[in-house]
Amino acid sequence: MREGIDRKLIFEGKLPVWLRGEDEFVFSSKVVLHRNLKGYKFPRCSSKSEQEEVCHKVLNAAMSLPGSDKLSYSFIEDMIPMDRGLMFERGMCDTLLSGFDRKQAVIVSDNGEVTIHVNAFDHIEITVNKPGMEIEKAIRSASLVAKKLGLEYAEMDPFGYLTTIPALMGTGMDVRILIHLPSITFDKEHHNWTTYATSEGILVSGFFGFESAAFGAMYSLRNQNTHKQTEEGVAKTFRNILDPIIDVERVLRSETNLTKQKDTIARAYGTLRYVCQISFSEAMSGLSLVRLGINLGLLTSVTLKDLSRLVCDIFPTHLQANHRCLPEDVDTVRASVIRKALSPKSNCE
Amino acid sequence: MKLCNGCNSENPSFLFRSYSDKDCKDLFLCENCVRKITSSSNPLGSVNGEIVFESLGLAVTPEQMKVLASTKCENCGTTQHDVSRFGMFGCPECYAVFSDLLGMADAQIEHEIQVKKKIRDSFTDSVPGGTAEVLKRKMQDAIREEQYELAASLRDQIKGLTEEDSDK
Repeated sequence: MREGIDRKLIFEGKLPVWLRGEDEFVFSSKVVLHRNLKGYKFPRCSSKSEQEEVCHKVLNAAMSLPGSDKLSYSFIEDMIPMDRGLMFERGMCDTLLSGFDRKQAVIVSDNGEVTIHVNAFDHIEITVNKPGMEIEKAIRSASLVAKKLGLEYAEMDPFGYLTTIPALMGTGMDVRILIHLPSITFDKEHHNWTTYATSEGILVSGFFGFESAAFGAMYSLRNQNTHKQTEEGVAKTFRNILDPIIDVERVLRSETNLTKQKDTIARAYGTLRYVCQISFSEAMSGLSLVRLGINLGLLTSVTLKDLSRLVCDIFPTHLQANHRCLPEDVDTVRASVIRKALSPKSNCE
Repeated sequence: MKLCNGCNSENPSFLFRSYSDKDCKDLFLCENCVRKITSSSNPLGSVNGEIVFESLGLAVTPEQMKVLASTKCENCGTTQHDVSRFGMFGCPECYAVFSDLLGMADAQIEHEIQVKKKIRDSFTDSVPGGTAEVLKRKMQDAIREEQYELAASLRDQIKGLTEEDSDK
């Protein structure tokens, strides 16, 4: 396991996992497995020395993981804000990693699929990202990492695994699905889909999870309570709830007036092609419609792959990292990146 | 009695809860206010504002709060007040100390499941073309993929729905 996060190796030229899939609706399946070490207070109540002990214990255990030569680690205090931002935007961690006043570390796999965050809300938070609707695979990978670490975790009958946030006790598993629902967002009659999801124990949040806004009709759906549930049960529940939502989205896409849809998509596409300055949320809203246009076959000269690359490039920290621009110039640079990516060969048919 | 922070109506059914390590902010909302926020989309489709909804899973009534007010975990010093404010425990021992609180939350969740069945039905019934149309499409997909057992089961479900409609 290497010390230090190598930006070239992990970030440069690679799409975030959530943009690698080709599913029409689901961008990615993400599982965050929360575990606490037996015999220690949870991070928010533990002393600095306990936090350091936990960090070293987990890092030592990670060194014995199979394929540990493809892992790198860093203490949060040693990371520059830009690297933390890149990890956050790629969905590799939940927070900007700087919000806690405690000794923390991250372990990252070279392919960006697995991240182990030490001393966040819980001692260990294993994040596994998979493109598309792959909840079961993501759950299996996260559970395997937890098992292979070979550490003794805090458990208690009848609760199961014990976590700082009691809603996660039991499996300690937080599942998130990043989904694209443009038609249902526009449709006034089906605005109750969030109420429906919530009523089934699924939280609907914005693009970056808790406390974030939903950009471009992209939502993060996450389980609310895993007590008395099995890992397989959680995956099954998710599928059962997502199916009707995706059904409604699919039907709305096929039944909405085609001319109206073409017009909305063409307007968004036109704006993006000639824009001089654009905020992240406005760009994401426009690109969301472009993605809808591609999926409906209305835009043929932009591929999903090109679009995914573009979406990755316009994130604030990615823009600053790739174009070395100042924060105040980000909106102008973003517009130029979008114009360049969409103008040469694209047309709305 | 709790009031909706959006329109002051009684009995809000959703709790907006944002966590941080030092603070926890709660906002109670009724279904109408939840809908208003989620449907406030601009022409390009983005929904503004923070949207994190949590049904009232771990919320307890003021009466239940009083009973638990004096409870404290001796191992980490977490009090019942901390738990209700931050929604977090401090150590494994807390689970034993605050087990009553967890029991109450369980009972509340069970109750809510029954109430929420109505919301689910209203959404699945709102599928354009009706549930039967969705089932028909699934049946056609199953036939195309040569999954005949699944297709037959879907056909029976469609038949059941059609008969229900004609009975009404």
